Amino acid sequence: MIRTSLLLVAIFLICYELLIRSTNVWWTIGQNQWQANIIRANNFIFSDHQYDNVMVGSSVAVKLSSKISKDSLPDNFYNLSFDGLSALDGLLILEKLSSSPKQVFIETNILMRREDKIFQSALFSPVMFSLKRFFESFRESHQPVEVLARITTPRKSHPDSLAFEPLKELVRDEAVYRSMLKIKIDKSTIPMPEGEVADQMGRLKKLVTQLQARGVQVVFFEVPVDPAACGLAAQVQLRQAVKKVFKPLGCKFISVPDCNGYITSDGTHLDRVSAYKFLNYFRHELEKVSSGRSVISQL
Amino acid sequence: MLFNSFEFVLLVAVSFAVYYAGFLKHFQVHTLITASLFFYGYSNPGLLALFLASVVINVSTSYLVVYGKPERQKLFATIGVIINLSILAFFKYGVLVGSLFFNSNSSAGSFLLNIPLPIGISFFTFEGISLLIDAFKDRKRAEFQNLVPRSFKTHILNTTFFVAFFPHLIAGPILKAHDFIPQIGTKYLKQINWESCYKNLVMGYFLKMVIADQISQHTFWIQYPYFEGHSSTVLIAMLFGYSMQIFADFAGYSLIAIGVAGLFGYRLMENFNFPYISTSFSEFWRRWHISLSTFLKEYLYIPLGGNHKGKARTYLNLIITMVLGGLWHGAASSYAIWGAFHGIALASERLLTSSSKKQQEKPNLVREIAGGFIVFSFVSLAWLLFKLTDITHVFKYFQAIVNNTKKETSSKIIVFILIYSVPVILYHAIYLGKKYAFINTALRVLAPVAYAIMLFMIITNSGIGGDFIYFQF
Repeated sequence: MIRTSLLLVAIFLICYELLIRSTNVWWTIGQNQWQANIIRANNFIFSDHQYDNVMVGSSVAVKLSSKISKDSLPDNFYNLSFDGLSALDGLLILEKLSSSPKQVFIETNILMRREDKIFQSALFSPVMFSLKRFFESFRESHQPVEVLARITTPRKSHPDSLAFEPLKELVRDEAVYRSMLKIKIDKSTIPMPEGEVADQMGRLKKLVTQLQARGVQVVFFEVPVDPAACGLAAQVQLRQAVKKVFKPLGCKFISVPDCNGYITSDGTHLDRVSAYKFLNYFRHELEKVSSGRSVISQL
Repeated sequence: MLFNSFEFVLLVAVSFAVYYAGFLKHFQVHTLITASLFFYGYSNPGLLALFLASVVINVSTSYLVVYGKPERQKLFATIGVIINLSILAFFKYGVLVGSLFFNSNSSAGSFLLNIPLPIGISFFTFEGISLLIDAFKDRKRAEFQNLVPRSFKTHILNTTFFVAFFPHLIAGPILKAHDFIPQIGTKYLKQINWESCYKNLVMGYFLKMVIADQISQHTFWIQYPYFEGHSSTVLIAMLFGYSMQIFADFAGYSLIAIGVAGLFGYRLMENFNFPYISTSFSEFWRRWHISLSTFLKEYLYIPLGGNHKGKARTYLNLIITMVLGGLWHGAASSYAIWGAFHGIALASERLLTSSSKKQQEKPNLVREIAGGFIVFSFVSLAWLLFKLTDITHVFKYFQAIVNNTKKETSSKIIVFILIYSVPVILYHAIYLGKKYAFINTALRVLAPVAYAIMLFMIITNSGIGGDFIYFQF
């Protein structure tokens, strides 16, 4: 029984791999947030393409490219940010790949999260990493359940695969917005323990200096949040810590614009109208940073 | 160390090779004790000190219970049980006591609030208690030499192995001394039931990695305040999904434990017996987390008097047992309430069935389906107390179910929860169908294909490799 069963598994795997390679009509975006993160990371890890610009960050930065028209972002750009995680995870991926884009943009809104060890081991586990490199059927993007769930939907017409046009009006759940904003304010009113901030800056510094040693320009940026949460003690403390540690290293900064002009869905994440607005600002500031005209230190 | 990690597979492979190496056959127990201590201390070696202290207490008190002065044997057993319970109470409920009775800024409050919860403490403490009680109860029986041998050295090895054996160490099944210790002896490769191990391991990993880990990404939203943004339909679907997830997660863990133990020649008790087909609450508790429910029955419900002290006392004993069983899961009022709900359900069921004498009636399909529906719905609603340990959030969740009828429904969450629930439903349905000969024949013929599909799905369709839910208990 065991022998027959194992033989069948081998046949299933070979057939599935051939099927996956023989067609490009099957496509997925992840069955859930976790898989979306893994797929975004794998698409970068297993790509032969060399990106000039890489963004690392949390869900705050994910919102800057999710369902957003591609031309809103700088050219040859990859958003290596992850929902529920932080810039540290993206930076660790760059470190493990010894990747050297021209510029790395680090989002500083949610910077105190440690790396997610389960996420990192899912990407770089010794056996699965090699298998995924050579066999596409082992990658999360080709999980049979999602392939089957999406098989009836042509890639081009599915809303999840399309770039979205800017919305004209605010769409948010006010009850959720108020609850989440209250939690954010409660959490950020008191400064964080200095030791914890220093530890986290130390971890970041190690990764940033490695990037710089490979000739990468590191740019820090902060996305505006709800005006009620913009100047809270923990947020201000983090801005100051980033500036203090990374300015002497020659990193560049894109300052946070006035939060009053921005609307969030939950106090932390920009809604799509505001995401477009911030991207306009981001591109404008980026040109200044790239041309060396300005190093904004207000962050 | 997680069962679904590369390190664990490596540990099992190395231990297996050493264990069955002919020249080391007299050191099989030593090999498994070493592997088990490595397994337990892998993430946090500091925890080994507490674990070993617990082992020392149980080794010495159980030995004294049998070979100490007869007039003091009961005293030794009592002391051992009290020490076990004190360790459990200190580490498990210290934080609760600290938060309820002390200011967090005071030195005592700060101390209590920072007590760590050692992984698996609820399990190995209960196993220690089982050893002491079994030793005391059975100390005069002839076959007793198997449980506590005269040789103190052998007793140390047996007891350490009984408590530490890594497949069950962190989340059960909770072993009883009289079931496990008599099995200790030299094992041979040819004795392994490979097919049974293969089936348990494939089914266990499938339930955990493909079902539970995938559903967990959708039930993730059962968190305050995230759930407030979802429609009533999604909230109900997530509750259903959590019911499927907790079964797949824990039953999966138990099957893996049974499979791995089988590779080393040991038989662990079944922990789940298709619980969601239950048509009554008492049946549910005969099928769910069997090792805990039988432990509570043997070591708590029966000593309290069981059903031998009148109806009122029986109902009270049921409720007390279930409340304490609830609190065994964690130091939160939600666990006690969860236990109380189940205790009241069991007591009410007993009251109703005894008064209407329904037990004597013939089986009725409609009544059984209705009973199954009621039990499953109640059990699933009660799982919310496991997921949301703040009771105010539980009320908010139910409020949201009532109020969010007009919110936009995320079909993605519902579709994936339903897809991943199908195998769990099928698993139970096949069990029900086993009474028909043609289904048994089909199962035998199709078994290699079914296990091949599950293994294929484990390789290609696993979810996030997260902790097992019961690790937190």
